[in-house]
Amino acid sequence: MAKRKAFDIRNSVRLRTLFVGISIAALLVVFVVRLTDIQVVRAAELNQQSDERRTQTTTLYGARGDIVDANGETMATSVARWDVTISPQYTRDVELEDGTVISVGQVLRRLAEVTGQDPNAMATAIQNELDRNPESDYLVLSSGLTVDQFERVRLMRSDWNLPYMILQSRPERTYPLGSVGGNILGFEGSDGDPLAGMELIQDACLAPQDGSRLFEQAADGTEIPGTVRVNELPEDGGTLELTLDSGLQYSMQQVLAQYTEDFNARGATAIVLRADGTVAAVAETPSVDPNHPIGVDPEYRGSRSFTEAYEPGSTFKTIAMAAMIDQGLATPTDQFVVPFEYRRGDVSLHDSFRHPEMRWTSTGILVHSSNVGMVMMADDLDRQVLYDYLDLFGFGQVTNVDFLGEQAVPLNDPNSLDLQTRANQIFGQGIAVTPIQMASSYLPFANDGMRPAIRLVESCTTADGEVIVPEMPEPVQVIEPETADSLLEMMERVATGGSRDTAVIEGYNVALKTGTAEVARADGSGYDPDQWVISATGVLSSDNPEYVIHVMIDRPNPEMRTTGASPLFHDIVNLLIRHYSIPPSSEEPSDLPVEW
Amino acid sequence: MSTAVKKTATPLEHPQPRPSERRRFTALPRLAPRRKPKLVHGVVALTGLVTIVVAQLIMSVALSDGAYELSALQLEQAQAERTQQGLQEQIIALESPQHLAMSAEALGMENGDQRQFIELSTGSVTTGPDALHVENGSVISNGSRLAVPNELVMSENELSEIRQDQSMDDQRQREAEGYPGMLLPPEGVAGQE
Repeated sequence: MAKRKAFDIRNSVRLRTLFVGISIAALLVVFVVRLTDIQVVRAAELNQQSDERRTQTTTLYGARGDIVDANGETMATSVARWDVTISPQYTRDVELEDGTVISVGQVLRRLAEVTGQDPNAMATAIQNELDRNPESDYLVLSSGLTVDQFERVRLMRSDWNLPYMILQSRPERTYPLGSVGGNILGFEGSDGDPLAGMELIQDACLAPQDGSRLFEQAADGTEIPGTVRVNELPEDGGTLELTLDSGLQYSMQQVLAQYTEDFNARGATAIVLRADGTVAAVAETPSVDPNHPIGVDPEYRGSRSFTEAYEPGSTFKTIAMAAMIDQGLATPTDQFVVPFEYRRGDVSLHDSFRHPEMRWTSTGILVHSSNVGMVMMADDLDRQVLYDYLDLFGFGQVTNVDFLGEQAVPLNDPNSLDLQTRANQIFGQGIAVTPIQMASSYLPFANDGMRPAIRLVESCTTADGEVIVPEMPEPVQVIEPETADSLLEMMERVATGGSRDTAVIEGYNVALKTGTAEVARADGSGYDPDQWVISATGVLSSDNPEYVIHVMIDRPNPEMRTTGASPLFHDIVNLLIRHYSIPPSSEEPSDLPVEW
Repeated sequence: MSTAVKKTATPLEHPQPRPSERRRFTALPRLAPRRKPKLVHGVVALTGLVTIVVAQLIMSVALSDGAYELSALQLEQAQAERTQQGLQEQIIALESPQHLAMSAEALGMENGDQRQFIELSTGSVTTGPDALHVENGSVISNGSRLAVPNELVMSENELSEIRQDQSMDDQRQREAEGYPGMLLPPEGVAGQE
């Protein structure tokens, strides 16, 4: 037998195998430990780190819905604007590749050139923010940059490689027609929240739903394909269609502006309602321009037609007259002898112009706007019955529009009023209404005695194409059709039978009633002799009633009150005729007797 | 094998298979002589591997290239959308009723006044609306204000600047012509620009 060789590791196969096996095992153990460490122990932390660095979430903005008028004209739409934000803690001089240093001051000056701001103010703002929080990462330097401004700032940012500046885009509202219908449209605040008007009231229709997109990005920001994880599609807001005719409203606002200036008035209003109750125009001056809400005082930023009540004066006589004729207490041709003054017990009142005893018919009392005549006629009128009529005519309640801040101006219990006030109310003093209530109360004359609910919103069309039409209450039968006809004939004579020739348009049978009302003093101490509201309400035209028109001039120069609102009423009717090409009346004008 | 040993004739049985076939034996796989490995096989295998790897690489490059192209196109699209919006805003301002009215007035146009209607049944011509009681222009207050303001068309700031410029122009005009009591320009040091 051969002698066993001395133990030699180089020769021992088993030992070599063992050695190799151990080293492999050791290596494996190291790998396993490292693997466990990464995959198990530090898994969560590393996952999060990698996600933060790689994953990007972008908000996909939905578009806010447009507001359009009855003809589809865009009255409000959204555009993109940009904000310049910086990270104050990293705002410092930047060194370019070629060695030039771009100082913060240089950047601010260049930015100020584009936006028109004050560079010193911006520098102060940055300093204040850093004082407040030295690690501040967010400060808005400029907001609302237009496309041109954005392009210039973007070029500056990329030319100078500014890492601390970010340009963010956001949607903003723009109003192509300016202040046309601004009182109705409303506007939004600087943070994009709707603050007034239809923007606020119909926000549910207009507001979009933003979506989001989660994806992974490479080190240079490029989106890595196939990594879009979550994709929520944004939902655009719906289109709001109003019943307004913006072209008509523009013409009306233009005329009102001229009258406000000529009459040196606080303001003027003109409301046009179609016979079916849709609002064709609510024109007011001054009116807010939603592009620039701070351009008018806060009191003019809403719609005073809905929110400001006034004592209507003589335009209210038509309502009282209608109540009396409907009740059978009077007819258009009843004969009266009307003095200038009326005194009975505690009640004393007089007409607006001195006259001897006149032989006027009921029509004549309306034509000459005689307070005394009205009170005489209303002797037998039960005030509770009158108030029931007022309720049917829509007074004392908010209209169907339910505008922001709309006043109901509730009616008092007639039995709680003193006799003087009860008498005054017959000719429209001692009672307050809103302009829209006044306009809406003449709708029964245009509709055979029926009063439909008024509305401003035609429909809301969602982004899917679904058209949502608002629910409307039933129309109310206020007076008999015959009563409505009689009143229209009587009101025709107001233009033709008296001294209101400025209201007459040759060939057209226009029905109207003018009114001159004193404004009550705020402290309730009576009426201010120098403050008046002159108005006129009527129907175009009496043989083919299509429109109810209400015009008002608020606190004109007191000398203008004798001129009255007839010229303005004439001009608004004129605009309507031109705008809608309304042909002249085919029927003979009313020939009701004014005197007897 | 010798047939002599195996021969046991049994006339009644089936003819016996030949001894060489009767013995049960399994055929061993013939150990094929180990052939020399052909180069072709190796080359094909490696080529295949390399092709696969290269193909994957190319696809991944193309994909990321596509991603970059996508990114560039998206930037272009965003740029185009911004340009479109800028132009659209210009159109909005030009199409606004205020701008149209001002342009029309600058051209000398006036608001359409009277119009007439023809009654088709009788052929008679009837009058339409008469003239308005007021001047109906797009600007009021001696042309210093838009009757119906629109910030997009004319900013209130611009208007006040225009008014200031106009009053400065008027003043310079008067000074050029000279008027009694006008202050003469200062002489001496104070008069130097």
